[in-house]
Amino acid sequence: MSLIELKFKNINLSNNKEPIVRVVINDNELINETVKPRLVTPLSFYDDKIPEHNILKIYFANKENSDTVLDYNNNIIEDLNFELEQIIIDGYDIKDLIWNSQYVTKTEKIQSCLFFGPKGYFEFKFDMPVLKWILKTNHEKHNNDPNWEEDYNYYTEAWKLLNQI
Amino acid sequence: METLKPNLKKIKSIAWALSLASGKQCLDIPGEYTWAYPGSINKKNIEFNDVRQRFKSIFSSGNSIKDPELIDFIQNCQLNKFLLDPWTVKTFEERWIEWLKESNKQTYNLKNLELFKNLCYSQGTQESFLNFYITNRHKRFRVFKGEYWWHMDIWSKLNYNWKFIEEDDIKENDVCIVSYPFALYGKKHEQFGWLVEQCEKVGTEILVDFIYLPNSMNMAVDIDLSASCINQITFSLSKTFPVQCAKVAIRLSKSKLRDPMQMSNDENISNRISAGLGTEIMNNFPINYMVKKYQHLQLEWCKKLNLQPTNVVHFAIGESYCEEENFCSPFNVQDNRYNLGMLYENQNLLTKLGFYEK
Repeated sequence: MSLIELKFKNINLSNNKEPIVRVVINDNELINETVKPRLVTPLSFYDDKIPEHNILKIYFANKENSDTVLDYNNNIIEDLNFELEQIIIDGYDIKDLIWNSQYVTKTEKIQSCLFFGPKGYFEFKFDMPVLKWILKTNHEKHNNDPNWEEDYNYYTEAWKLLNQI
Repeated sequence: METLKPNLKKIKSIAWALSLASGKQCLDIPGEYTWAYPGSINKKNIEFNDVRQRFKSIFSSGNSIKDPELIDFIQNCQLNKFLLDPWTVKTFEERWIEWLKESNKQTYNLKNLELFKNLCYSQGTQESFLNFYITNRHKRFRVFKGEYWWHMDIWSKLNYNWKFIEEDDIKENDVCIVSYPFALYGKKHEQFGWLVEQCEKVGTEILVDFIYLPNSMNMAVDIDLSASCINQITFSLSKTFPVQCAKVAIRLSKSKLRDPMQMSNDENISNRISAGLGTEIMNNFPINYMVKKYQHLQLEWCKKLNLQPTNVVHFAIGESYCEEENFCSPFNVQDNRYNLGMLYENQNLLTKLGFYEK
């Protein structure tokens, strides 16, 4: 069964209130809980039939205006916020591809933003099988791995062969 | 050099399967197939990138066949006793000469071997090379293109003066190193005779490296060692028996050399565990053991994969199966050479996977 692992850092509380995320894939809710450095969830509702194209959304579920505390000079002295550090899908760290994402608020769409400050959600699109998608996307980005598809096919064939014995 | 059109699809499939099996630790004989990319000690090394790196290098080393009988024998050797025996290294050196002579004129022919009266244990052939480098540090080093990459890499890193033999005449201030059979394609270098003539004429020296001699056959090594330019020759067990990390080798020379390696030997402080292991192997296996055992498999696999067998039992040549990448060193250009050892060692696994039929 496929797994999604999310790693967060710099988790800041405000008035002892902890941030909560709601993690959704293709409109199916996976997680709705307090942000921790590591959150892992299986894609249980798909069994083995995960769609090819997927949209992962991480909602900042409990952010309110009152969570941002200002001093007399309007400097933020306390805020409820955190950062997304890493996404691992089926054991594959997507590494730099995490930046192919956007953070959507009521008023704007911020490209390549891993910071959860304003109320909104992080959106990231990926395909399954994720290894194939990682290799393909990296090659499209850097044009440095022309054999990715052939090697991917040999690798999956080797797994099939060795799993048979 | 002539290249065949190998069955690349099958070669790649086998390489990927063995590379993954190595990570999954399900090879017939566990061990180090991954000399360039061993991966991490903390994980299984079965992820795509781990397997891919091994795939690229799996046929590329010169390493020995990991023969199960040898592995079993070595695992059961009691070596600590040699630390207490002051004659261990001397015994090793003398046994080596007898061992060489026992099979001389069977699979190889060394003429005038008796001219080499000085025997010196070497901590792998690399120690002999290093001593050759130190002794000749003010000279210009010469090798043929395709020679063991270690020489060129070290000379470059140490800013030693060196040049490929193909790129300039042999001059008085040169010294040469040649592997015989030649490292790149497992037979005598076609210009070896010419080089000996040149060195005789100019009065310079050649170190002849016989590291692949024990696995050679069909008289691929047939040499008269009397030429005065050949003063030192080296032999090793590393490419023949699975002891490459024990560094068991020897240097023979016509005149006694005065270098650090000889000093350690004279002082009797050489590695007795390695020398003892070498003696145990020589006392129980003939020098051409691998040739006798695996020659038929070399021919079988070459036929299956459409590779060209060489006169070294674990090597074949043919067009490279993956993008050129020089492992460990920019001088490691051995793409056309296939090390077939892991095919011989994993007959059971490869049969189960459908790559081999008995």
